[in-house]
Amino acid sequence: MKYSYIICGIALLSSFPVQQVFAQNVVECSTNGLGTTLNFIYSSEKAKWIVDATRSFNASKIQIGGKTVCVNAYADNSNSVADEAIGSAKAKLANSDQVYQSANFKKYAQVSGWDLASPASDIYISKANADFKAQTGKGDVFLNSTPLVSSPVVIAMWEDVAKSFGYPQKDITWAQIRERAEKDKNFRFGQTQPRSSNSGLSALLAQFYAANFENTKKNIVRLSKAEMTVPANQTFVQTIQKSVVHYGESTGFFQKTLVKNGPSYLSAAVLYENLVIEAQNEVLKNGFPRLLAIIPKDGTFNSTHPVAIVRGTSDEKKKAGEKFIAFLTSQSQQQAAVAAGFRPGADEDGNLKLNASLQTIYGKVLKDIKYLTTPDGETINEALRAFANGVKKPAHLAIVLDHSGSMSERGRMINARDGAIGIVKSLTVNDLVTLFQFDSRADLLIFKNLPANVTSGTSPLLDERTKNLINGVIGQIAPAGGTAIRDSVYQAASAICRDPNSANGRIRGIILLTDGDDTGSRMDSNNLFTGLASLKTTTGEPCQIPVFTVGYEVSEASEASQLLRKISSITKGQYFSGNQDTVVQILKYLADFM
Amino acid sequence: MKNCTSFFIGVFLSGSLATAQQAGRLKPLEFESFGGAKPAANSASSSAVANVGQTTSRQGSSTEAQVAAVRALPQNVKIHDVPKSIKVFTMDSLTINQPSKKTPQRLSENDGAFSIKIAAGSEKREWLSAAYELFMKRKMNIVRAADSRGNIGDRTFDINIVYTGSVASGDEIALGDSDYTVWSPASSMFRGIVSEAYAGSVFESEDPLVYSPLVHLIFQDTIDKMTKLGIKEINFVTLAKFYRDEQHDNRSHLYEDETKMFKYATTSGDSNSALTSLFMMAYDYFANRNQRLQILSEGNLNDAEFQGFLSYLKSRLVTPSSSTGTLGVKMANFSNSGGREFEGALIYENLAVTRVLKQLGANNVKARIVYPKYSLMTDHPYYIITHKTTPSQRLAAAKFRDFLLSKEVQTIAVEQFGFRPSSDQVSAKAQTKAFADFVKSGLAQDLDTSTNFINPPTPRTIRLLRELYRNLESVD
Repeated sequence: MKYSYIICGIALLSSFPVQQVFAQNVVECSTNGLGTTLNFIYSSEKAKWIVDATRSFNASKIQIGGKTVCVNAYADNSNSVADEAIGSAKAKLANSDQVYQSANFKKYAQVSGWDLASPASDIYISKANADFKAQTGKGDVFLNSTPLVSSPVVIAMWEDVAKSFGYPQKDITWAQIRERAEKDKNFRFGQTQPRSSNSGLSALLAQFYAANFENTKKNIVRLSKAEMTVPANQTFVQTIQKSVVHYGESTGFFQKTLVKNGPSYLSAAVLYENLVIEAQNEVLKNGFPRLLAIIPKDGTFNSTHPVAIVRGTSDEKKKAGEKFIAFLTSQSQQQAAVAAGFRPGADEDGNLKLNASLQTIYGKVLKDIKYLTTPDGETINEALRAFANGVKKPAHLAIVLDHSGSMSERGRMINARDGAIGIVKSLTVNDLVTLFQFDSRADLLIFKNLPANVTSGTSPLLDERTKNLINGVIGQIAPAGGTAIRDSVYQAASAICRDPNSANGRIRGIILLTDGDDTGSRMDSNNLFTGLASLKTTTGEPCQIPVFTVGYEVSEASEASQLLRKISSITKGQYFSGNQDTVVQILKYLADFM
Repeated sequence: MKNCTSFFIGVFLSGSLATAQQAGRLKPLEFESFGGAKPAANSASSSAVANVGQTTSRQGSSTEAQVAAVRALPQNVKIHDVPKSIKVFTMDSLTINQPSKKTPQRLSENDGAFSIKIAAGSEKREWLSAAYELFMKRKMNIVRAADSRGNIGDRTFDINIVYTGSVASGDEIALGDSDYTVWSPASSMFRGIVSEAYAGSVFESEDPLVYSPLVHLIFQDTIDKMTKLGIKEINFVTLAKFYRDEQHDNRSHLYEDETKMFKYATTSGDSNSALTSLFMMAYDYFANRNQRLQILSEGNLNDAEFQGFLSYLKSRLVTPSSSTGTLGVKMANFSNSGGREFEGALIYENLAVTRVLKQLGANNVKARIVYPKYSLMTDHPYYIITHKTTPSQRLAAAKFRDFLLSKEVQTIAVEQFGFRPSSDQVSAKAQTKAFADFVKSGLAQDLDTSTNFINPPTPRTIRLLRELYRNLESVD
């Protein structure tokens, strides 16, 4: 293979535009209190189509009962779409006058409740209905879903990698990918975080289907909870996961980074068919091989992007929602979706032409896709439990928090602590976490009252009790003193590299949050950059840890911003500019990479 | 044999299916093809007691109190693998909510313009929406009614139609807090859920609007292969057997790709179609055991083997949506999706015609309608509610009902939306013309010869079956 590979950690992320994560894919409208306003939360994979379609709908000023209907549309990952719908419905169930506050992100603070929701697939309809029933004892949270568009979950694979599997003469199976993951250390795989993203969850479930067949040689119509708890099945999936370079919240992130960096980034990644279509021209323009869409012989899930009214929505808004759904499934909007790379969700006249790229992205004539059956909600939750309890590739994350005096301003310290606590909660039992706080100097936090195995600053077993203890320590971090960014980054990177528990085989990264210029470091920038580049593990191997830097209310022109950008750039991490509305969300986003 | 239209006129002109059956105007249900076995209710009940005898002292303690190893399919269905064991429930161990009885509260008249609110099953959304537009466009929303002082005059009204699940809306009205003027669920099966919650008459009138039975819709190539494999009839017992055969042989009996197993779809949740499918499973099961059921009873639900049968189907049927419309779209749109998510589905006849067969036909793909031998009629009753409604609201509701039953709007229901009319003003010729293109796909001009429509069970049995199915665990 002529492309070089990055050896450790999360790599090649620095060029991804931060703004695409949070600021885009939102359509907001106003009727000055005279119309009917719908709040619509949808999965980000279809943002390109939904943003234009929603703007068109709002521009058409459709009226119901003499009131103009307008739609606020917000993109998020599928799991958040489901969680937000559940949160909104529960608030309405508890008290119809209560204003719903988004449980996840402050960016939705202005939303008084969700009326329409559209995750990427039926999987989240099934899961959310089960979760809502478990939490409230009531019926479905999603009422009568309608498929908007569809796009199969595929493995995007470079053509030469696919050929090495014997493709297209032979179809590729998950068992072959497992074998490759086990034997070829250069095989680098990407999939999103199953707890957050539909494509990652679809991949996980598909891998369990394949594992069950591999271990029993029996075909099954639908997975049940029992298959998730079989050790041999878990081992099969775990082996594939070992080749994962990093996880992530956004399928679009993998697509964009594949397009930008080519085969040196990943050998293959789980995407959607529409994203492979979208990537084709750019990939070739950048001089990379063809990126093929592979549907495993074992089958795949169809992401049908169901849209549904959220339980608790008023009658007036239900009617408005039905109008919006009818608009999205109209022939003209379906045609627009096809142009954006989707398959139509509705085609009543039978005259929509599919996207021409479908003829080429599979590298062969695709006869018939074998679709897997969506398991029930409890089975999906069991798969996620298995993932968290050992199937996932473990991570080692260092969280480095600025607690200088200026962090006391405008609730910065509170938000930073909340974000860090959220990160620790999201880590799984085999992950490692190392905590630093810094003011004029960096301190590896000494965890008072913690068990002996975490007093070193690194927890070997991140169970719920340990997480609670660590979060108790984070909760007590108080602002005081100056700011020593450079020293802290170097110490954190050194600590991970030197930690014998953090050998290869882990996803590794540092998240650093600060609100100002470096005023206290003994290292200068040149020493820092040289030092980071020359770090080695205890066995003498080169050790590069990507650093994700978060500038909290740091101006773009400031020295701090320049330094943070440089650090993330040379370590192949990523820089984020955050404020009080976005910083918790940014930290959550970063946690999903682990 | 009377044609379908005249059959319906005779039965439903002035009441629901249940009323008609109780009044003796509908021929009694017969299971001629399965011979003359004894009625099943008692025997099924005693069978259940025998199966759970070891734990009867714990009855009522919890829904998981009774556990027994049972066979999951009826003995006279050829099976190869017997599932291990399932939890068996007695009906008195299940918790169901039944609202307390209350007296309907009729509201006194108010003044000026007013509105009526209709809770309607989403299955007839498009037709009702079209009818509403026409009604308002013609400014028919005026009734001559009294105001609060008793003065008679013209009063305008608006109509708010809320499309919601039949069971959910029934539960809401039964609780007594809703402000619906009209309840129009998909089926009169649910009538008792509301009527039993009131001490007096809660319905001022009840009229079926249109008909559309649930049918099996299966891709033609699939049904051809199934026929070659010896499947002579499509029902839930033969579907279970087909699943079981593939499971035993661990390979597809239909496809070249041997890993691709047969899938059949029904709806999930509390929709009319989901609940009706459960009753169809029950009638298919007991018919296969040569048991003549007039009405499915609580005793039947205690039958351990029946519960095993339901468990097996629960683990095999795919339920991608709570909406039959979505199942139809998935079938109709399969070629755009690159593959089939399932080979057949239980969906409403009108959707099969207007949504699926039409689009498949445009892509030169064939599918076939197969009528279930036993089913409950989806008759879309229109109940005008007396509880918390005013006389003028009820007058307005009656005016809109009459409009829906007019020749013009019934014709729209038939020609544009594939329903069968309840009004005798739509001629048999018009129906024949509307459905002619689909007869070759199995559509029956005469429902009388295709399906036995069964008496609806009691509201308690409906709730128990729903709760039982929720609690049953899947079996391998």
